[in-house]
Amino acid sequence: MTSVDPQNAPVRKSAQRMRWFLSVFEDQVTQMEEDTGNRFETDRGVLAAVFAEWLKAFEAQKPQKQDDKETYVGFAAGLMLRSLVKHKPLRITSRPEDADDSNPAYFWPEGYAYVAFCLNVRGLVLTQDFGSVQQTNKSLEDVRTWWSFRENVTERPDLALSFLDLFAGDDPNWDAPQLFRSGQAKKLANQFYDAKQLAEPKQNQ
Amino acid sequence: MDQRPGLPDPSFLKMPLRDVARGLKGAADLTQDAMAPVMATLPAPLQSALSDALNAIKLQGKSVLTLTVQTPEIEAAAQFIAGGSNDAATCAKVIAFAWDRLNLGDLASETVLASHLAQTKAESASPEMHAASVLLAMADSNAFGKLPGVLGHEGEAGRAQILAALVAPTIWLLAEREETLKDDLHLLDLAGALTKAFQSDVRAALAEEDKLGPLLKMLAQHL
Repeated sequence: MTSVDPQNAPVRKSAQRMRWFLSVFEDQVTQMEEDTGNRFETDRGVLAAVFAEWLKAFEAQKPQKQDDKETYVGFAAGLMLRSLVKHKPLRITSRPEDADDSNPAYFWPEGYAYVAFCLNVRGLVLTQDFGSVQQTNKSLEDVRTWWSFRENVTERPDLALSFLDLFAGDDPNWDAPQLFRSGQAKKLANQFYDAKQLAEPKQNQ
Repeated sequence: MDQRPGLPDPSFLKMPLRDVARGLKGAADLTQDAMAPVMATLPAPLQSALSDALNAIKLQGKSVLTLTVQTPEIEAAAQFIAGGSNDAATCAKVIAFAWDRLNLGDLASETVLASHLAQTKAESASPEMHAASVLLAMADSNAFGKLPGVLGHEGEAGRAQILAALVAPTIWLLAEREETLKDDLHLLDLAGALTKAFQSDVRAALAEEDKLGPLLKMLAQHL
């Protein structure tokens, strides 16, 4: 996927500013146009409304515990995807004649651009602010998943959070994706620790 | 050969003259509003002639009003808003410019606003609380609306509307400055969009004025 310029730091704080959001989103769309041959029209007024809605949702569930901050990055990116698919600031105006519809970038060009933006910002914040690396899932290239994604989020935009987790290789919450689950980082760490403990005795036997 | 002088650059006009230009456009707007019921009863050719005349006056006012502000003026206004200077005149110029650019309401009088702000004593511990005090002072200045300078002409509902409208230029001045004038003016447009999107929160904060400073800070930080 098209990447966001990693020179824009500090990312976690910058991403909460409207000027940064609009500028990076538009740069991302330009890069996406170059990479795919798709052409988009952006409604800046709608984009401003997307940012405002995201900011309210972001502030509403912002965790106080330090342990939750990293997990919240993924949740915040999901909130952004939800606002983007709900308000639709992009409209495709043309695409290459030989576009392959089994490629998600052509199957749903606007949705692909939204997901690319959210994953890139998510990955950038995780890398720069937390030293983590985002691992994407194979489903990101699977057009059947994209078909399901488009159908589901049209009916229930909250599911954008679950699908972004899926694409990012995380464990999606399909029941109440719009609610942040505090303590997930610890839970995941414990799972990893337990699995390691179980594995080690076998290696010693 | 045409010897008529061109229109002067409005940036160099004295403050009251810029207000006259604003008034020219505003008077035509008001006349058009006031004439609306009567217009319908006039014969079509007369309606058209009257409408053309009023539009010509509005265009003339608008052309004189195509002014801008410079970076040092924006910086001076930002300092005034945050409590770091006493340059009320420059702040009034920048606020009136922002009012016109964002099309926030009827008329803005730089002269009335500057005079009111120069008399305003706002002492606050933080930039955002000072900005909140200045914002309230601006709304009470009678510098905005259909008849700037006329005491209480907008009423309580009008004051609330003016107060809400002035949040956009206030958060713009509180926010971190951009490197170029072009980008800073673009930031003003974004401030308008952000304030509009947060309209319900703005109205709630205006009802409880101690919440105004924190809201201004939050919006300026996220701009």
